[in-house]
Amino acid sequence: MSLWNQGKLDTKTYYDLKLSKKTDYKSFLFSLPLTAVVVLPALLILVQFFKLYYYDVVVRFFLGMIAWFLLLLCNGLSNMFMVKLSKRYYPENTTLMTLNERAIFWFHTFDIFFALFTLILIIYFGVAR
Amino acid sequence: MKKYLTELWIHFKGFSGWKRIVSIATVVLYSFILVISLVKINYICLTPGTISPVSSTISISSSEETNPIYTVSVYEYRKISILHYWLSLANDEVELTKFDPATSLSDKEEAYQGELMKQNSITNSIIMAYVEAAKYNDDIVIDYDFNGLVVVGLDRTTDSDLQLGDLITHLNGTILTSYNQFMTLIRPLLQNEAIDTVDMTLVRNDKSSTVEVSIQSDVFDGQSMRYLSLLLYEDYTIHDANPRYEEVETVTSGPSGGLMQALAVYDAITSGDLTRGLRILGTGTIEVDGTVGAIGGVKQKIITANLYQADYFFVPQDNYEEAMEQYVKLDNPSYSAPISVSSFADAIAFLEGLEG
Repeated sequence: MSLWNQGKLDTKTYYDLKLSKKTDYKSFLFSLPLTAVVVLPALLILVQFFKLYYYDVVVRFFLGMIAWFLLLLCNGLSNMFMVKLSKRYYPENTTLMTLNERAIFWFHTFDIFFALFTLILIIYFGVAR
Repeated sequence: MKKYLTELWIHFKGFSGWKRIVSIATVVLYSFILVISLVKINYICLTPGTISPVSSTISISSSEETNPIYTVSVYEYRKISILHYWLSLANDEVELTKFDPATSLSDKEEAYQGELMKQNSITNSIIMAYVEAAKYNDDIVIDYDFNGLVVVGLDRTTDSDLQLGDLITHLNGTILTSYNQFMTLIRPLLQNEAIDTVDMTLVRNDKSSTVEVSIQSDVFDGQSMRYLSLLLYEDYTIHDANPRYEEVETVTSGPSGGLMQALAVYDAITSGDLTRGLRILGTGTIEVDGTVGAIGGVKQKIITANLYQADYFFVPQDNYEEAMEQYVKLDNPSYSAPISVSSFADAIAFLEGLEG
């Protein structure tokens, strides 16, 4: 089974586990700053390039595509961190411990629906304006 | 999360050999990127910008035409990051200028200055276009008054009590009627070494007061000069106009759209089509007597005009040399060469000479 398909299955398993809502929210909320810390340097560099080359439509398009990929990466990372954190909160949950975070990262990074949704947002708010 | 981070730290501490080196190098690189991206330095970066149709700034009620006359703007970034500075050095289309925060205007003042200048350019361009068009059509009317000279620039180190936006109405008790009259009055005062200050009556927040403004002296090119550290624009109020016009809120600022605004308004209120469907871009300030003044960032505007496929591009005569320096560097430019103009009449004469 490919990593992507395994990630899809593991994600479904994770949501079927029905962990306590409070802990689930905690994992989700803490996964966001962790993701931000990882992508921050890339984001800062991208902003500088955007400022400098905003006038050039072609460069702006490529930078927009990089921003898009960064968003996909953020989605993958935040889901991966969420599962990692949940594992720390529920070490006794054997099903949870079997989930593959790498596969979950892979699946969410290349999640077609999220990719299309963010691409539409980027085209609407960024590149086309 | 604390537990997770502690585990990560213990995991990191357990690294040895090349893994430890790679981890330390990653942390150092991470910190380095944060520092160069977040620490700001006192430089202004000007990059090429964008174009806007004049109809997005001034709309004329009687005109349904949307003539392809555009103003050109540049993007300005003040206090840029170290990384922004380094990247700019590798891009010859941008301009870097060092500035001294002690003498320069603050960001808020800069924004206000830009707004004052833009408002002034809009008023000037409307008066200019209506007055010119009224010569050929009696139905075109504009009623306006001169208010005084508005302060649009000053040196923060000068000791006067003037502020941006102050309206100067009198100089040493004499009522002001134009900028030229002000210059006629001030010249002998600047030449008289015995005089160190002048009195200016000003209106601020609808209240009138008189302030003492010091005459500055400095040496430029080995010559001693006495001057006032002020930038003054003529200020007018338009009471009524036919056809009616409307000013539209825009995000751009500064006076450089004056010439193109005047051309677009003139084209909208007169019969005929000045542009003949061609894409006319340009830059330059405008006075109510039709004089076109120099602007900043002309190199970036030359590039912008090419990016947006201009058919013709007007530049003020005083910027022409600088504009040509940049123009010759363009690859396959969309327009033949910048057209130098010193007055509104020059631009009109050029457009009327175009063949459709």
